[in-house]
Amino acid sequence: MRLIPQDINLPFMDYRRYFVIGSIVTVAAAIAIIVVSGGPKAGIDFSGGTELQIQGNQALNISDIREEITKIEGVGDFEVQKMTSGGEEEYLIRLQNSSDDLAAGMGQLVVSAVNARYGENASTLRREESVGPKIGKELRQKALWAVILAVIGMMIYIWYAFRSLSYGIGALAALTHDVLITIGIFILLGKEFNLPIIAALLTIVGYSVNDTIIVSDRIRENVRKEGDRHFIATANKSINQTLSRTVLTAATTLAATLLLLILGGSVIHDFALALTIGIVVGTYSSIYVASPYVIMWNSWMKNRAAMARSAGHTNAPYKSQPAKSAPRPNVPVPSETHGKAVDSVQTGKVGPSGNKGKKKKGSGKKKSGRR
Amino acid sequence: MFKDIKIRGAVLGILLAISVIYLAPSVFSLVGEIPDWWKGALPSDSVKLGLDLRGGMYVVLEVDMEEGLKAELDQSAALIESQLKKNDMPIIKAMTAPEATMDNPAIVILVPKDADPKVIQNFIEEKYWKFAFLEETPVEQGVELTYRVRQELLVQMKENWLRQSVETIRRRIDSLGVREPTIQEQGEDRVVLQLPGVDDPGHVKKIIGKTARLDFMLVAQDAMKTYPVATKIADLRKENPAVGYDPAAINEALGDELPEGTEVFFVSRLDRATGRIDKEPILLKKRIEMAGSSVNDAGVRFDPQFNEPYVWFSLSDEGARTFAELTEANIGRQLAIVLDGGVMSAPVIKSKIGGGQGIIEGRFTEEDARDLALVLRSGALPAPVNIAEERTVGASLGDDSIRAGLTAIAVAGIAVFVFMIVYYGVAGLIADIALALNMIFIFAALSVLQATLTLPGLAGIALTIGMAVDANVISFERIREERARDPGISAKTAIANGYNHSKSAIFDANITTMFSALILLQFGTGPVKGFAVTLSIGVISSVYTAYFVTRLIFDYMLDRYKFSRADF
Repeated sequence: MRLIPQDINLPFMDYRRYFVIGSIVTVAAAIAIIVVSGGPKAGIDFSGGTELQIQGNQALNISDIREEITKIEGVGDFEVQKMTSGGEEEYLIRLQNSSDDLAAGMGQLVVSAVNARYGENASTLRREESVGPKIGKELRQKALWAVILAVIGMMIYIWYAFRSLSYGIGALAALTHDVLITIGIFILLGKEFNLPIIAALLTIVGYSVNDTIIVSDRIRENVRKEGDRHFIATANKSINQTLSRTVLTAATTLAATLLLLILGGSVIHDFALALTIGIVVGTYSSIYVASPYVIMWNSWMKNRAAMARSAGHTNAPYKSQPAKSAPRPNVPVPSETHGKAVDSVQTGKVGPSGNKGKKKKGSGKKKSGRR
Repeated sequence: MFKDIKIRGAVLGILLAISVIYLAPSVFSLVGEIPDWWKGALPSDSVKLGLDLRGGMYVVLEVDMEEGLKAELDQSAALIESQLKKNDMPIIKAMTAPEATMDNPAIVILVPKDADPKVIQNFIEEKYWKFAFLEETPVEQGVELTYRVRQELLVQMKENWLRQSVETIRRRIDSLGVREPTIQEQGEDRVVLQLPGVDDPGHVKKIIGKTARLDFMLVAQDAMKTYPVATKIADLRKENPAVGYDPAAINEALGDELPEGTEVFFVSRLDRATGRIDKEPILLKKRIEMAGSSVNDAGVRFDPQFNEPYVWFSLSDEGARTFAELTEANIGRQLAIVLDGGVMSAPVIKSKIGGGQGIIEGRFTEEDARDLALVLRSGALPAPVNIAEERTVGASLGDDSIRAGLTAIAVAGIAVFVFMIVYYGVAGLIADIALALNMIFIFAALSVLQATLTLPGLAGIALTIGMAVDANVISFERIREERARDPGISAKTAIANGYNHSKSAIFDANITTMFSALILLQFGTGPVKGFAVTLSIGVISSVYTAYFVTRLIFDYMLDRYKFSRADF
C-alpha cells in the first residue's frame, strides 16, 4: 500500500517566500500573544501554591464549592474549575499558600467543608500538591536551563554532524517556530505551564530537530550526488523524497499522542495536548520552514562567495539572487533556474547512470549558459 | 557490526532471555504471587511504580539550619558558663551573640572588670577548641569576649544535622508503620521522603514536621514579681493586634522593657470544664538549662485520678546527671518544660531528682500524648524542618492512571501494528515483531535498573511506539526507492542499500531525541524524570529493535528462503 506516490514532486520551494513570510507572521503573532498575556500562566510548579483534585461522588455545584472555600480560615486567592477530561465530576482547585506552612492540609479542609454541606462522602480528595516558594523558584530556573541547554546542544550536534551552519539555521528556525507557536496556542487555550509541559516542549524540540535532520540528511546526500548548483531544486527534491516518511511518522506519532489525549486520563491531559500541538506544528515546520531558511542561507553564502570572487564580472556565477533580492511579481512564476533544474532532475532520474558515483557537477543535461 | 547471522541471533536470544527473566516477577505479581522456587536465585523485583501510579506521599523537607545553629550556640554557651563557674573562673555569663547567624556563629562571654580575660581564653582554647577567638570588646560591666565556631566545624555540623534529621525522621516513619519508605538527603539541607500507601497525610505531616525540641528552662519568678507581664502584653495587643500569641513578635516589641535575661513564653492550659486551651504569659530565664536531646525514652500513662493521659520520659546517664545538678541547685523554683517554644507545664522543683525521669502533663488527648511520646522517643530534630514541597496522590487516582496509561499504550500498539501490516505487508509484520520486542526490552530495562515508572513514563512509552516505527519507515521507504530506481534489483541489494542509506538519518534523528531525554533526566524531578527515563530507554531500545533486529530478520529470511523479490 502506498499513500504518497514514489515520484511525487510537489513544488514546495517555489512558494518558499510565502512560507517564510507566513511563518514569520505566525511566530510574531505567537510572540505578541506571549507578551500581551504577560507570559505563560505559571502552574504551581513554578509559582508555588497548592493544587487539589477533588472528585464529587454526587452532583456538586461549583459556586457552592467556591462559597465553602471562601469560608476557610487563611485562604487567599483561589480558583475552582471543573475538569473537562477524566471523570464526570472532577474539580481542580488552585490555592495560594496562605503562609510558609504547607502543612495546613488544605485538601482535607476543603473536602470536609464540602462534605459538611452536601453530606458525608459527597466528595473525596484524589490528589493534593503543594509547592513552596523556594522550590518554585528552583524549578523555574531548572526549566529555563533545560530549554536553553537543549537548544544549544542540538545546534552543536547538527554543526558537528553536518559540518555546515546552513542546516543548523534551518533546524533552529524550525524549532523556534515550533516552541513559540505551541506556547502561544497554550496561552490562548488558557492552559497552565507546569514541569510536564516543559518536558513536552523539550520533546517537541527533539522531534522537530529529528524531523528536520531527516530532510537535511537527504539534502546533504543529494548535494553530494548532484552538486549544489541547483540547490533549491535539490532541496525541493529532497523534501519530496522524504515526504512519505515525514507524513507517516507524523501520523503514527500523532496517533500515539492523540490516544494519550483521549484515553490517558485527567492527570496527563495537558501534557498530551502540548505534545499533540507540538508534533503537528513540528511536522509542518520541517517541510515548510526549515528548508526555505536553509535555502536562503545557502544562497546568501554563495552570494557572498561569488561577490568576493568575481569582483568585476558582469555575470555572477550563481543565479540564486533572484530568490531573495529582486522584487517578484505577485504570481509565483517559477524562476528559470527552478524550471530548468527540475527538468534536469526529472530526466536525471531515469536510469542508474544518473545516480552512480558522486559527481560534483550537475548532470550534463543543462543548457549552457545557465549556471 | 557483526556480520554473522548466528552471532547476531544469539545476541538477540540472550537479550530476550534476560528480559523475560527480569520481567517475570512483574508478571507473577499481576496474576498472583511469585512462586517460591523462583525466589532466591532469580530476580524478584517487579517494575517499580512511582507514587503517582501507586498512591502515596512525596515530601521535601528543609532543615532550618539557622534555628539549629541558635539552639546549638545556646547549649554551648550554657555549658561553657557552667563549666567556667565550676572551675572558679571569673565570668559573669555566656550567651549566644545577639546577631548570631550562620555567617557569624558567635557566642559572647562576659568577664567582670578586674578579672584577667587571658585565663578564660586559655581555658576555652584548651577545652573548647571548636570556638575560635574573634575579638575583645570593653563594655560597661567589664570585657566581652566574642568567639565563633570554626568554619570547618560549621560545615561538619551542618552535615551532622542533616544526617541526624534523616535518622530521626526515619525512626518516626518506622513508628508510623509506613511500608517501603524512601528517605534521602538532598543537597545541603533537604530531606526527600517518598511514602507509598499513606492515606492520612495530615497525621504524617504532623509527626514528621514536629521538631519535638524539648528544653528545660527556669521560670524568672523574681522578675515576674516586679514586671506585670500579663498587663503589658494586653496593652501591646491593643496597640498592635497582630502580635497575638506569637512569642517572637511580643519579645521583639517589648524589647528592652523586659527584665534582663528573660523572655516571654506562653503556657498552654487545658480548661477541663470547657475543653478550651488557654494561653497564659510567663517569663522564663532566657538560657536553656538542659536540652531535650538527653531524653532517650518516652511513653504514655494514665493518671488514675482523672483518667487523663500523660507522657513520661527518661534521660540518658549524662542527662540524668545534669538534671540532678539542675534540680539540686533550684529547689523551690519552677522548672518550665518547653516543647517547641511553648511551655507545657512549669512544676515546682520539690527535691533533687536523681533518677533521670520525669513526666509531662498538660492538655492531651490520647492521640496527642501518643504522638508526643513517639517524637520524644525518636529524638528531637536537631533543627526545625519546613515542608518545602508536598505531593500526595490517592490510591484510586493512581489505579485510574495506570489503567489509562496502559490502555493508551495498548491501543497505540494495536493501531501501529495493524497499520504497518496494511501499509508494508510482510515487512510491516517484521517491523511489528521488532516493536513487540521493543516493548519487552523497555519494560525489562525498567525492571533491571529498578527505575521508577510514572504516568508520564507510560506516556513516554506510548510516544516511543509512535516514534519507533519511524526508523522502520525510513528504511522501508528507502528500500522502496531503491526498487523504484532499479526495478530489476535483487531483494538482497535493495534491502542492503536501503538500510545502509538510512543509517545516518536514523542515528542522527534518534540521538537528538536522546539528547532531549538526557537533559530532562538531569533537570527533571518526580514524574517528569520518569518520562525522561522511559524516553531514553525507548530510544536505545528502538534503535536496536527497529534497525538491527529487523535487519537480522530480513537477512535470516533472505538466507533461508532466498527471496528474489522482497514484498514491499
